[in-house]
Amino acid sequence: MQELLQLNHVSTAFNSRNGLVKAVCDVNMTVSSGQIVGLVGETGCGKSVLGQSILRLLPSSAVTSGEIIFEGRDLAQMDDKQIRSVRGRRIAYINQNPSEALNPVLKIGTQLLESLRVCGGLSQKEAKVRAVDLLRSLSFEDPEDIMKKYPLELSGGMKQRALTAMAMCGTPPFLIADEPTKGLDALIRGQVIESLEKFISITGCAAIIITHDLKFANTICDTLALMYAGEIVEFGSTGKLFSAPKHPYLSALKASMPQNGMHVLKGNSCSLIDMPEGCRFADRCGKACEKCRREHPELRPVAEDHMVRCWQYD
Amino acid sequence: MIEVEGLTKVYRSGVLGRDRKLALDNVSFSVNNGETLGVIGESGCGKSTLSLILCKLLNPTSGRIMLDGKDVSALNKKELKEYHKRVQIIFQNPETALDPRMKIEKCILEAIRNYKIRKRGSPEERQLLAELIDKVGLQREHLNRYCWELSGGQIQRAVLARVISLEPELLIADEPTSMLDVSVQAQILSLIKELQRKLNFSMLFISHDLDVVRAVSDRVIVINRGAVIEQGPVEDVFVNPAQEYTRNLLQTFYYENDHLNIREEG
Amino acid sequence: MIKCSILAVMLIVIILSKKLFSWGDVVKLPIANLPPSWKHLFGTDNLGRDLLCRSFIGLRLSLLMAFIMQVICLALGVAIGTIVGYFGGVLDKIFVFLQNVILSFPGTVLTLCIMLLLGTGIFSMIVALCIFGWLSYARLTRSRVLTLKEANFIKGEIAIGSSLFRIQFLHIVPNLIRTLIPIFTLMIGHSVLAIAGLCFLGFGVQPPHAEIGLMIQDGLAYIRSDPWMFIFPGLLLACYSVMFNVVGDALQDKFDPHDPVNASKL
Repeated sequence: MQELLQLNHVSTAFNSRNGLVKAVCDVNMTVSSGQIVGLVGETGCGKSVLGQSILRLLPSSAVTSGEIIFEGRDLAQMDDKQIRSVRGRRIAYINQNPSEALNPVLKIGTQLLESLRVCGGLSQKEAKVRAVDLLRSLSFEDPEDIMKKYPLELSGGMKQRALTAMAMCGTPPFLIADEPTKGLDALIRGQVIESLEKFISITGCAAIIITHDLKFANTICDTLALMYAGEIVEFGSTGKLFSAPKHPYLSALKASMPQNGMHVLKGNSCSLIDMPEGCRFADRCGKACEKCRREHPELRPVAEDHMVRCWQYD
Repeated sequence: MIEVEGLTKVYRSGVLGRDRKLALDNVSFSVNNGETLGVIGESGCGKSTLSLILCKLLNPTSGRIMLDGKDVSALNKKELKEYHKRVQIIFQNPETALDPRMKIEKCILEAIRNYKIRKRGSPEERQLLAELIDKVGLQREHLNRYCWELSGGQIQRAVLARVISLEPELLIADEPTSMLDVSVQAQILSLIKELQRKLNFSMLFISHDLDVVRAVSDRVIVINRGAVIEQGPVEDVFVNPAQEYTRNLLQTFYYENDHLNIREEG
Repeated sequence: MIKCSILAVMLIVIILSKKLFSWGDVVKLPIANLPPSWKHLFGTDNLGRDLLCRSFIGLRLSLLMAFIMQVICLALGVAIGTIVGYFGGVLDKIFVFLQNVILSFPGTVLTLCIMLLLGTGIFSMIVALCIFGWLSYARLTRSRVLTLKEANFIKGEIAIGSSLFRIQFLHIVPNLIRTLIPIFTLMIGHSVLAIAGLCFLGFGVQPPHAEIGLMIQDGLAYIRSDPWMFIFPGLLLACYSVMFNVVGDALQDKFDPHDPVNASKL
C-alpha cells in the first residue's frame, strides 16, 4: 500500500493574550491509500486544528512546525499558489457545520458547477452532466430539482450530502472530513455515513475523519488515532482499540457511553497553555502513579498495529 | 402527576394564515411522580413544540394539561408564575441558555429573587447559592464569570443550579446533552439523575439519541409527525416495538450500534 | 482606541470652544477678509471675525443640535422598536406599514416641506429631522428584538418567572446596547451634516448665530476672491463628520463581541 500522507513532528500553536496555546504537539502519523483514519477526541483535543493544519487553513496567529508530506511534497513548505492547487483537487475538505459551509445566496447547482469547473477542470456542459451524476450517486432522487434549490430549502442531512458532492468534484485521492455529523440528528447520521462510504468507494480515496462521535468513527474508520490535549494517546485498528482499549482515557470514554453504563469520568482536560510535566491525563487517571506525574510518556507500540502513550505498558 | 389530553398545535402562516402546519396531533400521555418519561422521534416531529407547551411558553391550539388533577390550561398571571415554579425546563444549546451580559451568579440568583425564596442580599441567600453550586459541581470562581467564558458542561450545570433552586416538580429536559462531548454528557446526565433522586422530581426527557433515552428513562413515548404512536416501559418498547415505525426507527439508529457491539465482543 | 481618543480630544475642544474661541467672534471690520496667516489660521471673514474661532463655535452649535436630535430619536426609536418587536401582532403590522410609507418619501424633500410648514428655527429643524430619525433606530431595535425574543435565554427567563418589565429592561435592552452605540455614533456624524446642510440652504439657524452651514453659505459669495471663507469651515465640518464615522465603524468592530453567542448572530 502506497503512503499518501506523512505527518512528521507536526505541532501547531496559537499566540493568545494569555500565552502560547499548544493545540497540537508533535504528531507523527502515516496514512496509506485506501486507509480511513479516524481522528477521535473531545472538544479541545486538537483534532480539528490538526486537520486544518494539513491544508494550511488556519489564521495567521497559528504557527505550524514539522513536515506534512503529501504525494512526495511538503505541504508546510509550499507557497500560497501551490497549496491552493492542492486544496480541493488533491485533498478535499468537508467542513463542519454544513449550514455555514454553503453559500446561502447561491443555488446548490451554481456552487456545484463552480467546484467542478475550478477543481475538476471541466467545461460548463461537462460540469452540468457530472453534477447530476454526482448528486444521483449520493442518493438524491431528483438531482435536477436539488440543483435549483437554495441551501436553506434543504434539510441538515441533505446539506451534508450536497457538501460531500462538492468535495467529490475534483475526484481527489484524499479527503479530510471535519466533524461531518456535528449537530445532526442521530438518524440523519445514517445518511451521512452512507454518503461518505459512497464517496470513499467511488473515488477509492484515503481519508482522515475528524469526529468526537465514537459510534460514527467505529462504523466508518478502519484505523483510529485518539487524541487528548494535543497528542495522540492511542493509535491502531478500530476493532482492536474499541474491543480492548489500552489507554485509560479510551477505557473511560467507552465506559461513559450511555449503553455501557454512563460511568462518569471526572474532571476536565488540562490547560493547553500550562501543560503538566508528566502525562497529561494523569490527574484524571485512576491508575496514575508517581512516574506518570513526573515523566511524559512516549507513543510506543504495544502490539502489532497498536500504539499507546502510557507508562503502564512500558 | 402531570396528564396531557388531546394536545394539538397548529401553526398558521402565510398571508391570511392559510398555510397550516400540524405540529402536534391529539397528543395524550401522563408522567407519574418521580418517573422519567422519554420522548423519541425524528427531527421536526413536534418534540420541541411539546416541551414549550408543557412549560407554558407556548399555547396549544386545543387540548388540556392537568397538573395533580387540576386543569392548568388557562391560567391568570399569578397562577402562571406559580406554574413556572413547578414545571421547569433545560434546553439543548448551552451557548444560548443564559443572558450573555449577566454573570453566572446573577443568573442563578435571578430565579431565587423572582420567587423571593430568600431575602435579597441576605446571608441566607448566599448560603443557598453556595449549596446550589456545590450540588451541581461548580466552583466559586465560576460565579464571577460570564456564560461565554464557561464550557458547555459548566453552563448546563449553572442552568441546573438555577432550575433546582425553585424545587420544581417536573423537569422538562429538551436534548440537554446533545451538544456535549460523550464524557461531559455522562457527567451531566449522572448529575441530573442524582438530583432527581434527591429532590424527587419527575422528568420528561426528549432526545434523538436512543441510547441516552434508554439509559435514563423509565417509560418512553414515540412521536411521529406530531402524534404519539407508541408508549410503554422503555425496555418493552426498545426490545419489542409494537409499531412498524418504531421498529424502523430503532433499526436505523442501531445500524451503527450493531457494528460497535460486534466489535466490542470481537 | 487611538481613534476614540482623537475623537474625545476633538469633542473636548468643541465643548470648550465658547471659552476658548469667543475672543475671535467679534466684528472687527479693519481686519476683514484677511487670508490665512499665523495670527488667523483660517483667515477672517467679511466682518473681520476670526474664521477658526467662528468655525469651532458654529460646529459646536451643530453638534449640540445633532446630539439632542439623536438622543430623542434613540429614545423614541428604541421604545417603539422594543414594544413592536416584542409584542408583534397588530402593532407590528401597523409599524411595518408606517415604516414603508415614511421611507417611500424622499427624505430631503420631506424635511424641507415640514420646515416650510413649521417655519425656520432650531426647534422646527430638530422636529423635522426627528420625523425620519427615529425610524432607523426603531427598525434596528425591532429586528434585534425579534431575534432576541426567540433566544433560549429569554425563554429561560420567562420559565423562571421573570416579569415582563424585568425581561424588557434587564435582558432585552442591555443586549441591544452593543448594536446601538456604534449606530448612535455614526448617526451623529450624519445628522451634523444634515443640520449643516439645512442651515446652508437657509433654513434653521439664522444670522448672527455662528453655525457652520451658514458660514459655508456666506463663504459661497466669496468663493472667487477669498476662498478660505468657504473651504475651511467645510473642511472642519468634514473632519468631524468623518471622525464620527470612523469611530462609529471602529466601535462596531469592537462591539463585535468576544462572546460566541452574539458573534454567531451577527
